[in-house]
Amino acid sequence: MTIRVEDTSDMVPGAGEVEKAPSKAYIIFRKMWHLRLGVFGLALMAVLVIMALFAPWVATHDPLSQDILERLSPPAFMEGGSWEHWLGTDQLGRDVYSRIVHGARISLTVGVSAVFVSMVIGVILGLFAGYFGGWIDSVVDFSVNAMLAFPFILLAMTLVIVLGASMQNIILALGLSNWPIFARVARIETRKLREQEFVIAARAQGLNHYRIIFKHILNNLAAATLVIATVEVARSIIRETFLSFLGLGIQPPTPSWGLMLAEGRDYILTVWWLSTLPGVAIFLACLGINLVGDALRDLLDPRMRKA
Amino acid sequence: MAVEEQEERSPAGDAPVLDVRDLKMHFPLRAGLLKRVANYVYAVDGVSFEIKPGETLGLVGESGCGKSTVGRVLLKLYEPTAGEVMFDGRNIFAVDEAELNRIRQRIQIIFQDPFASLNPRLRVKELVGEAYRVHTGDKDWEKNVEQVLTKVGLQPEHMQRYPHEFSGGQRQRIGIARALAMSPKLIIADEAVSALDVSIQAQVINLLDSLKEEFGFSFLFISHDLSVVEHIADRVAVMYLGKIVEMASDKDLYQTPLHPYTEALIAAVPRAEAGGRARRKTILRGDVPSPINPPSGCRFHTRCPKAMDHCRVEEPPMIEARPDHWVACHLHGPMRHD
Repeated sequence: MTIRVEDTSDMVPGAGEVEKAPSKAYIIFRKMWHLRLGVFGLALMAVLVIMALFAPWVATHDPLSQDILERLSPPAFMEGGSWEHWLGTDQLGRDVYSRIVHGARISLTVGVSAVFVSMVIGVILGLFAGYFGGWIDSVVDFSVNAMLAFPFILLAMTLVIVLGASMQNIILALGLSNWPIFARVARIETRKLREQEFVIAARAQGLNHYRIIFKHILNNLAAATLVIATVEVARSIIRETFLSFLGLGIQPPTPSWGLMLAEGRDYILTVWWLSTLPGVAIFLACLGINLVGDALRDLLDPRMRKA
Repeated sequence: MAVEEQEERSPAGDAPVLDVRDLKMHFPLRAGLLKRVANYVYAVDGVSFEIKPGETLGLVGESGCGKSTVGRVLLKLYEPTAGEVMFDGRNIFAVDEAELNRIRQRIQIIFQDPFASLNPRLRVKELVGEAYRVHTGDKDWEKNVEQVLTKVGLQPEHMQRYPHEFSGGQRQRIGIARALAMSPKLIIADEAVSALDVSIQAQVINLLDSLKEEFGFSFLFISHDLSVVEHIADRVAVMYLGKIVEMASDKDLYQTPLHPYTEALIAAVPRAEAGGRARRKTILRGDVPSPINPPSGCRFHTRCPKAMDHCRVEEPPMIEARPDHWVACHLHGPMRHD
């Protein structure tokens, strides 16, 4: 009747007979390939990241050096343009291409850092609210609703005005006004996870609440949070642009896409490309990030995943 | 080593490892705008039993009778309504959080669903070794993981893998290894084999059987499957709607069931006996009544083929109808002679 332990070894896959599972990165890449749009988005994002990381080498000119004699020259593809400044020059004779390249650095830094700030705040609050419930949950839930009822841009503007317009403060302002979306998702996911048997098992093992929250639950929030974070980077870039456009963001002469948009506004009827080109840059950057975010959601959503 | 400790700690010899006294778990049902408590689910309503060192107690009953709730509330995974759970002479419900977590190390649970009970994002190494590492601070904790994995019929190489790379039976072995890693005094198996294929069930039960022999832990085996319990348990308690209705040794209970409910449960077990005598089958009609509004008197009277008038009115007390054979039924109570 008794089956000895040794006898069961044949049902256990041995070390040799099982093919080594392909790495996770490879699986994601392979699925990504099927989602062409995701690949396209990845390519756009790669260009953006390369531009941001290697701006001094990718740019052809110093983004700040002015040449008043060359001012407002058209891009190379238009009549009168030259390849010296292939996307033309602005009202102070600065190279538009180089400014866009350096602008990518600003946009990406602000976008990623702001999202990081809101992610840390939101996820921690959401974890505690979802796990402990009770009054903590009520407070967090109320704050989230209150924040969401308040026009986002007004809040960010107020914060920038109070703190002063510098890059750190813009990051802080965007980060502090955008945490509710992370808190909401983290809270709901945590509430679901809290009832899962593996969490109950961890409690039954005598592990303390903080270990359970920051290891067993946080681990399982990673996918959902990553998807939101990606899309939120794109939204933060647009918000930075918006603040800069209003003069509350990055200050001149630093090259920021929003600022370039604003500066080109005065010439929109005659030198239309001056504000159009940074606009196109914003569009492509956000499109790329959003496409990647969509693809990630499809890949990481457990309901769509095939184990 | 576990055996030595037991001998040191219990000079009285038969002092129970676990002593549950009048345990009650009523879940509040909230309704309306103000979330007022409208009613209660009487999931566990006055359960008492004890488990001696090295003993296996089987807890059986239909689904919804509260047996799994008993297993969980024993570790205070729910906030109990009333009762006491004495483990090693201490009331689990009366100690503080830190002490509770220390006690939880000595009582381990094996869960029903080997898919839901293992964190999908942790490697086997962490799943099995985390609690041991955290509680003991042992730098050599991976060795302990290797040892218990071998004990449950897995291989040390499996440490680096994730749960989804295993079959259901193997996952349940991981769950058993996790429980074993803490060298517990008591293991609670909550429907530990119900989710597995019948062929795998037998392997896992035999594994549990041999581990019990080797490590000498006490065992609370919760199941709806009487044939599985018969195989593994020394003593069996039968639960119906939040109460224990009969409790006796494995042999007594299966051969001479006293409670009509136990009789019906045993009759319902399919038996493959060639030319077996056709036993007069007691078939239960209807569903288990709701634990929100349990029937008055004896809770079983709505389905009992032998129900008498005063079963509807008076709740039968638990009495020792025969030596070490306890039953809560008016058929066997003193009332019978009235």
